[in-house]
Amino acid sequence: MSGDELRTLEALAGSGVREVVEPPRRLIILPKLKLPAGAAPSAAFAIYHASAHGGYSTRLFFETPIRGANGATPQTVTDVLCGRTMYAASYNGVPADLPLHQGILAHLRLYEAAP
Amino acid sequence: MHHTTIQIEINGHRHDVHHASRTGAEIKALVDEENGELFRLDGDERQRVDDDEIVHLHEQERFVIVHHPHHVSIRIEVDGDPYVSHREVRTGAEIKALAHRPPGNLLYRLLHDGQRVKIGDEERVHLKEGERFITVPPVGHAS
Repeated sequence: MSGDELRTLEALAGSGVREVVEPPRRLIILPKLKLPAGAAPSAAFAIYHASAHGGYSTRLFFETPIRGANGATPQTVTDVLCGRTMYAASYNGVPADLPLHQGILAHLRLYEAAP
Repeated sequence: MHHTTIQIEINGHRHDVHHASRTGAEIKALVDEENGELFRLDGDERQRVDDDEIVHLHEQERFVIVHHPHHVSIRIEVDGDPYVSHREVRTGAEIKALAHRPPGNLLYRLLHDGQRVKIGDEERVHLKEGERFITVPPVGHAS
């Protein structure tokens, strides 16, 4: 992760962003990722799984299921990452080769209010 | 010492001048508009007068001072990369174009608390120094 990328991610998720590589997994720890306006909670600890996971090209896990701005809570699966039980919604098609901040924000679109 | 009083017109307002010869800068100083560009009017023609140019004034001579838009140079970031905008107002599409991002990408303005505000392609944004934007390809779908 470059210094510029780290700076951008810290703007999105607070200080303490770090990368954990557990081959073949690449995990990005996001201490306090800000959720889209209207979602609940408004910020949460998250882990971006920036590599393939169970048929998904990438996944975004949260410490708790997230209610979207439309009031609905998408169905989730759980996995234990870095010793914590984490929740991810079923959202696919976000390539692992995107810049990290773009991949994370692409996943967050699931929780945005409809345009 | 004998002083000549000449009445001239600057931007449509009359001014008494006590010396027949004045530089362009001195004429502008009469109306506290040193930053503008001075022109002498001659019928429908106008001739630019440089700041250090000496003008031999004539009674009822007319001048105008023209102000050009300030030179704008606003530094912004798009996806962490620095760019300079020479316009204060740009649409979302123009911000993406400035940063050579695909037009189909979504554009967000990044707020200080980490929150993002989506910006539409036609939406006009008043850019601020140091403002940060993020683009996101339109990828991903619920499965």
